[in-house]
Order: sequence, then C-alpha cells, then structure tokens
Amino acid sequence: MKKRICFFLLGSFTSIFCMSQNTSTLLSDSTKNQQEITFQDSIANLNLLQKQLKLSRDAYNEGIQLFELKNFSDAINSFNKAIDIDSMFVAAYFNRGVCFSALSNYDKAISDFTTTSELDNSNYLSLFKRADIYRILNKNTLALADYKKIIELDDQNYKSYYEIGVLMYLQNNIEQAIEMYSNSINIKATANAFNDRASSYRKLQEYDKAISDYEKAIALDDGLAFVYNNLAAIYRLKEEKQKALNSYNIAIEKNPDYDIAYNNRGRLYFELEDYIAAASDFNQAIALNPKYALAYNNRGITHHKNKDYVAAISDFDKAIALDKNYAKAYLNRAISKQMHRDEEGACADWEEANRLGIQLAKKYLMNDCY
Amino acid sequence: MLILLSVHFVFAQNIEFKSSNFKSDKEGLKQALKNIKLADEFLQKGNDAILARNDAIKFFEQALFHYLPANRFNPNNIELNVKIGNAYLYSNQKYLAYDFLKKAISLDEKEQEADPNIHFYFAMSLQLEGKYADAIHQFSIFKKRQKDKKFEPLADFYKKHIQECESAIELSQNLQKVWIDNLALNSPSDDWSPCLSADGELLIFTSNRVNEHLADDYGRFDNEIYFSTLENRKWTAIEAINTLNTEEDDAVGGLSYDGQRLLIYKVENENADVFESKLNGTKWETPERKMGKAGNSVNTTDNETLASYDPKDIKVYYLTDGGYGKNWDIMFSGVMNRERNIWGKGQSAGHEVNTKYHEGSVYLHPDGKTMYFSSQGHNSMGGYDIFVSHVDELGHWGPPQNLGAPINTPYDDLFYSSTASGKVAYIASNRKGGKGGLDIYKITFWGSEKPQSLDAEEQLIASIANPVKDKTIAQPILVEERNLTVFKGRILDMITKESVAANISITDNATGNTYISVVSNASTGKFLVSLPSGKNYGIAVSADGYLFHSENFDIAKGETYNLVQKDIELMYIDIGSKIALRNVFFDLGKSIVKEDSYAELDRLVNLMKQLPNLRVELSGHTDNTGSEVLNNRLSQKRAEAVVDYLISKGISADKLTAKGYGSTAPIDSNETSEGRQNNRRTEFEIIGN
Repeated sequence: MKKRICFFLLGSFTSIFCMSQNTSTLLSDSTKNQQEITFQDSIANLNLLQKQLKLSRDAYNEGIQLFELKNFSDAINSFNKAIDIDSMFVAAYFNRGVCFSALSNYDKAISDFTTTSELDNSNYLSLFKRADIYRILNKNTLALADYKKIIELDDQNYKSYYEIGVLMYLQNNIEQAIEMYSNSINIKATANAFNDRASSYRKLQEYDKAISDYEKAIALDDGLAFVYNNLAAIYRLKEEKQKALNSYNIAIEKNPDYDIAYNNRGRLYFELEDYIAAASDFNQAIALNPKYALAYNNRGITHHKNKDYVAAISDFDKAIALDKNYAKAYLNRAISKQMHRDEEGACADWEEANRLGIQLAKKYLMNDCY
Repeated sequence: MLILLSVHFVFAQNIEFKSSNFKSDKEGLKQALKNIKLADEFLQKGNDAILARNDAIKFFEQALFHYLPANRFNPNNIELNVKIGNAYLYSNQKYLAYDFLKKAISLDEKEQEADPNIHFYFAMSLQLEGKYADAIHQFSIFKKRQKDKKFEPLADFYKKHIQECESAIELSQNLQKVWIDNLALNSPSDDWSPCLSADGELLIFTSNRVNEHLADDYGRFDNEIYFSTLENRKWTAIEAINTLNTEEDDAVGGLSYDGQRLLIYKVENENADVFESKLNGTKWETPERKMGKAGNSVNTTDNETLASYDPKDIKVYYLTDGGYGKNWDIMFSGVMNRERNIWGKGQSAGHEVNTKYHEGSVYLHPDGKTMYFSSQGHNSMGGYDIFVSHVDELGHWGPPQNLGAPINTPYDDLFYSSTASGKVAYIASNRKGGKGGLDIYKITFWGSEKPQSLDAEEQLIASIANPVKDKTIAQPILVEERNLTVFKGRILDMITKESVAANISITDNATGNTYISVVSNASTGKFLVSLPSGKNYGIAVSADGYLFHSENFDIAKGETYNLVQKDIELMYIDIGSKIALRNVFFDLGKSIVKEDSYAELDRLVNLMKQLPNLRVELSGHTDNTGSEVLNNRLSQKRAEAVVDYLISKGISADKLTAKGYGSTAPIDSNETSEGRQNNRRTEFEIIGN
C-alpha cells in the first residue's frame, strides 16, 4: 500500500509537498517457520527503514530550521544527510536547490531543481525556480522552455504566461509580450500584468491603451507607487504635463522613499522651467539614495541653468565617481566646463563621452576643440 | 598719509601755472610752461585734423609726450587736465582720459573757470566708460554753456555722439553670446590687424611693439609683421616675418584663406599701395605690387592700404582715402587678366557700406557672401565698430548690421578675421582693460546653447526590481552653421613621406567646373581650401615626376563637422630618379634588414604592386671609412638583402636589381659625421617604367 508522508516546507516558500513512499503492511508476530523468519526479517528491515526514514526526516527538518536562520551552508549539509539516506527525497532536493540558489551556486541549484522535477513531474514550482536562475544567468531560451513546460502541465497557469510576457518584452518582442500578458489577464487579472501590458503599449507608442491598462492596474491595487510613476511617464510623453505631475505626486505619496519618482518629477519640473522645484526634488532623491548618479547628473543641470557652473561641475563629478562609464554626465560636464572657460577640461570630457558612444560629443569636439 | 591725501582731494583747487604759486621751483615752472607750449601746438594740429575728419593719433601722442611732465609738476590745473583728456580721447589709450577729465570737473565744481568744452570731453569719456545717460547729460550741458559760434564747428560731432550713446544703450540691451579674450601675445604697444587662415591655425598681425629698430623722438617704434601658429589650442611664441619687415612701417591687411599669400601695404614716395607676398616653403617672398602697376586706376595717388582677398580670388577689397569726400572708404578691384596683371578700376563697395565717416578695415569671409568691415558711421557705439554686410544675388552689399556689444564697445573696434566655421574670430580694439593701445582679442561665439541631457529611469516591468535605464538623449537644437567645410591635408611622397609641392585642382562634379586650384606648400606639403558642403568633388593632384592622382569625395549636406582632413600620397615614377630610403636599417657591419625597416620597404612593395611595369635598382652605399673591399662587399650584400625582402613580399625578381656601390657614390661630404651618415644609405632608382 502507499503511505503518504507530508512535509511542511518552511522558509520563504509556502507550498506544501506531499510525497509518496512505498512501504509494506505491518503484521503481528506468531510463527517462526522459514516463512515466518523471512517475515520477521522483513519486519526488522522495515523497522530499520522506518528508523532511517526518521533520521532522514530529522535531518531534513533541521535543514529547514537552519535555512530560516539563513545558515545556508549548514542547511545544505542537513539536506545532504537527508538525501544520502533517502535518495528519492524530493522535498530535500528542492530545498537544497533553494539554498544553493541563495548562495548563488547556480549550477548546483539547477541540478537540484532538475532532479526535483524529474522525480515529480507535476512539480512546476521547481520549474519556476529553475527558470528564475536561467534568467539570472541570461539563458532566456532555457527559461522560456521551462515556462512553456509549466503551461503544458497547467494551461491555467497565469504566472507562467506573465513570465513569458516579461521575457518577450525584454527581447523587444512587444506584440507577443502583449499576447502573453493578455492570456495571463484572461485567466486572472493582476495589477502586475496590467502594468506590464501597459508598458508594452508604451513601447508601441500606443499611449492611450497604456494609460487604460495602468489605470486598471491601479484599480486592482491602489498601493503600487511604481504604477503611478509609469503612468506619469506616459502623460509626460503625451505632453500632458499637469497630469504627469499629479501622477508623480501620488507615486511619492504612496511611497515617500521613492527616489526614482523624485528624480523623475524633478525632471518634469525642470521641463516646466520650475528650476527651484526641480532642484528640490533632485536633492530629495539624493537624500534618499546618496549613490543615485542620475540625480546628481540632473541636479548638475539645474546648477548649470542657474549659471552656477562650479556647483554643476561638482555634481557631474559625483555622478561620474559613482559610474565611471556615465556618458551623459561627461557630455554635460563638458558643457559646464566650457561655460566655465575650462576648454581643456571640456574637450577631454567630450573625448570621453564620444568614446562612450555619444555621437553629439564628436560634433562638439570637431567644432570646439580643433 | 591717506588722510592727508583725502583732505587734499576735497579741498583741491585750480592751481594756475604762475610764479606766485611756485616760488620755490621757478626752473620747474619754466620747463612746464615750455612743455605746455610745445604740446599746445600738437594738440591744435590734432584737433584741426579731427575737425577735418583726418587721422591724428600721432599729433595727440606728441602732445601727451609734453603735457604729461607738466602735469606731474602741477597736477591741479583744470586747463591742463582738460587738454590731456582731450589728447587721450583721440589716442589709442582713450581709457586714460576719464581720470584727467573727472579731476578737471571736480576742480571746477562751480563751473566758473573751465572752458565749456570740458563738458564735451568729459561726456566723451563718460561714453567710453559706458555711462551713456550721464554722457548725454554732459553733452547737453556743453550745448547749453557753449557760445553758438564755438558750438557750430562741433555741432555735427555733438549730434553724432548723442546718436552713438543712443545706439550704445540699445545695443547693450541684448548682449551677444560670446567670449572675448585678450590674447597672451599682446604687448603694451599697438597690436592690430589680426589675419587668420581659414582653419584658424595661422595668425599674422601687425605690432609697433619694441623692436630692434630705432625708436623715434617720442619713443615710438615702427610697425612690423609677426606670426604665430596654433598648437594644442594655444598660440605659439610670436616671430617677426623678417623677409617682409623693413625699418619703415610694415602692416598686413589680409591673409589668403589657405595661409599661403599675404596682402600688405607699403609706402613708397609717401604713397601707400597694396602689395602681395607668397609663402615659398617657410619663406615669405619679396612682396610685389598687387592690382597692377603703380599709378594705374587702382594704385592711385591716393593711399590704398588694408586689403582682403575674396574667396574666389578674383577681387581684392581694400581701404583707400580716395573715397567719396576723400575719407577712408572700402573699394574693390577685379582681375581682368591675371597673366598680364591687369586689374579693373577701383569701385566703391557700395552706398550701404561706405559712409561719410571713416571705414577702417575690410574682411571677406571664406563663404564669399559675407563682408565684415569697421566704420565710424552707421549705428556705431562710438569710434570704430565692426559691421557685417551680406551680398545679394546681384552682387550688391546689403545694409550692414552692428555686431553688437560686447564685440563692439564705445572704443575703436576694428578688423575681423575668422575661421571658415565662423565659430572663432579675431578683432583688434583699444578698449579698456587691455595690455595697452590696440590689442588683439579672440571672439568665441557660443553658438546655440548646448542642451544638457537630463536622465531618468522607469520601473516599467513590475516583476523586475532593476529599473530599465532611459537610453534616449535629448536632441540638440541645431546650430545655425555655415555650410562650409574646411578641406585640408598634406601631399606626401608615398615612399619617403616627404612633402611635395603639387598642383591641386578641385572640381565640382555636378557642374564639371573647377572650383578652386591651389598649390601645396613645398616645405610642409599642406593645403587648405574651404568648400561648400553638400556636393561631390573631384580632386586632381599633379607634381613633376609623380603619377597623377585623382579621386572623388563627398562633403555631405548637413555635414556637422566643419573639418575634413585628407592626406594624399603621390607615387614617384620618373626613370632615373633616385630616392634614398632613410628608414632602412642594418646592424653595424651586418647585412640583415632590421625589423624597423619593414614599414618603409612595405610602402615600396605597395608602389611596385600598383605599378607592375616599374623596374628598380636597389643600391647600397657606405661612407669612406674602413676598407674599400669590405665596403663594397657589405653594400652589395645589403642591397641584396633588401631585394630578398622585396621578393619575399611577392615582387618578381626580374624587376629588381641589387648593386653595392661601396663609397663610390657619396651624396655628401665624408669629412663630417653628419655627411658620413647621409652617405650610408640604401637607395632605389627607377630604371624602367
């Protein structure tokens, strides 16, 4: 007969695994003929097996506790013990894979998730996990294959459709991305899927459809600051600057620590020629994220606008210190240096911006430096 | 001391040059009065010249030479302070007038003692100081106080100054976006007439700075012509062009756009004419009279001085005091027969350009459609201002525009010479704040504001924590650029990389017409032309002994770069010609070709592959030291080694001959180490083609 042994997997994942183990039926002691002896041996074996299974389960549970303490290496040792005793212990493979993944030991993690899904082909959580790693490793084709396999197993898996949508979007296959997001939404409408479909429409410059989808995302979940940030960006692209401003305001209201929204609103204020408000937003973005190179770059531009070229150059210096390949910051710093009459410095910066791929810098170089 | 000074200033009074005021220094008084008397004559001559609208700087400088010691003797005389102010106002140190006139005014607070002209001169100095409203006020006081009879001769000047102040107020409202830099090469003397090549890398100018000639009685030196070149964006130390400079005044007017020819003017028998000098290698040749013979319809009994080329090289624009009303005007003459040096009669640059006041300089931009000139007329802010005029389809120069402040000032602003792109120009000005007298200034136009690029990022994908960077960048507003491209480069020998004087002809392929013909400089191989963009051109290069070279090239429309550089290599093919391969090396006493020789030999391989009929003899040469037998053997082996190398690169052996000459064919003296080094060489001679 089959006895079902259930394990609770703790930690960051909440699914419950149920695993099957083949055992024999237990009978009471009576005769001692050959048959009986054989029978008694089998009992002994069974007891031994039971004992070993207990050891395996204990090791497994210990692994979960260590995992919760984020002691991944020791957790892996415990899961190893559990697997040594029971090589068919699917949940131990899965958990060990999660630990390897947490330690960025992706090859071993992939191996464990592969074993998990081979031992239990209905286990698509392991396929999700493996696909996540493939994406980290930029092996998007393999990730895509995993998501497709999940859909083969479960054609109502809206998450898989969503993830395929994301992959399509990242590969700039926008039409297919929209189709996948739509499939996902048709199974279950989620704020994320609406947000992402909206962003896909943005790429196709179908701004009205994008606005409609961002609004649907907001209707499903009013707390997502980034959706307001995205909505604001669309209004800005549509030159509806007041609406853009309103949306940035809400984004910041929803998440007062949202450095990106401050930076973006600052840019909008700059475009609205409200340089004081722009500078204030860039200041706030920098206060929230002192390593925010973009905000330094932008604040530098507001200083330049106020003809404070020294302060501008200082901000571009910081942006470049944070990102030495920040081409725009070199271009901008050159312009400020030129206005500050540091021609040598300006030309050196345009050289660098040109080297980093900004065509415009080459033009400035040719016109102003030779 | 400070207190004493200020007390002195507050209670300062007019002190007459009277013996009762200088009882203890009668000799000093006598000397001062003598100086004043001498100076008064010069001042009178100067002021008479001004009334007649003639150039009078020298008179005023001479007056100052005598006034200043008298003023040191007694600085508190109203009249003398006014006279000094008067003299400075018409000199090249106008900025010094203000302090003397201010003092005179303060000494005469109650307007009891000074001649009413004090207000006129004080107003002029206020105008120079940029205090235009105050200046207008002082001019009006002058008009009120001066008697009609004395006001009358100055009425025109009065009106003109008021107009200038009004123009200045208007032009100062909207400042031009430029940087103005005083050049490091300026001196305390006059530095003027900057002439720039179209690529902006050669500057020739005139200066009466201290030189090795004798100064005149007033300490002034003659004008000489100098040049400087741009290296790493800086002007190199200046050098005098000694082949052009004499002990008299030598002044440059215009430089050809490629920097190979120069227009100067020379005074012979008290009459100035325009002359031209050509650059031969590094030497400026003896100047010859431009625009035909002396005394013809261009080189008149009037003076012809500062001149400019025109880009098509068919006209010369020049300044002459033989204009309408005998004041300085701009005229031009066109070539009628270049071989016979016949030029058309001088004609006025037009009524829109020339005024009843003096015009002071002329420059034609390489685009051929734009003239920059200076004038005391039009809407000048005071003194000479620089104006721009554009030619219409009929060839008439249109109404000029004042280049505006801060390029122009109430001081004298003259000359204009710019790069083909128009981004940078040089002017001369006696404005305040310079190193003294006229100084050369660099004007850098900002052009359209360069937009800076704001950066933002979005979180477009909900599941991705890492935001997607906004990769776009703001497009710049296009600068209104001249549709001209400087096309420059060098003509070089393909093998030796030495410069070649070649005839370069550039054809507009659309029309088949020759656009321009130039000769590359013999010592540098450089050439430079300014070409309209958006066309396909053919370039043909020819030089004696070299294979003719031609090719096509495009200068794309909307070309944003104003500079195209191209070096052209010519192949030497004359039978019998010998070329020393200076970059073929062997170890001492050995005959193995060193690796650093390969580059030059590979160029020879290239030449031979391109010209399959070429047959050459490679020869080895030594100096005369050591044994003759050894030298002969070594030179033969080395020649063979070079031939072997060429064969290894695919040149057929039957085209190559190796021969060792030992020391039998020297090309230099064996007496010096330099000569011996020249004699040790590998040579190739073209023996068949």
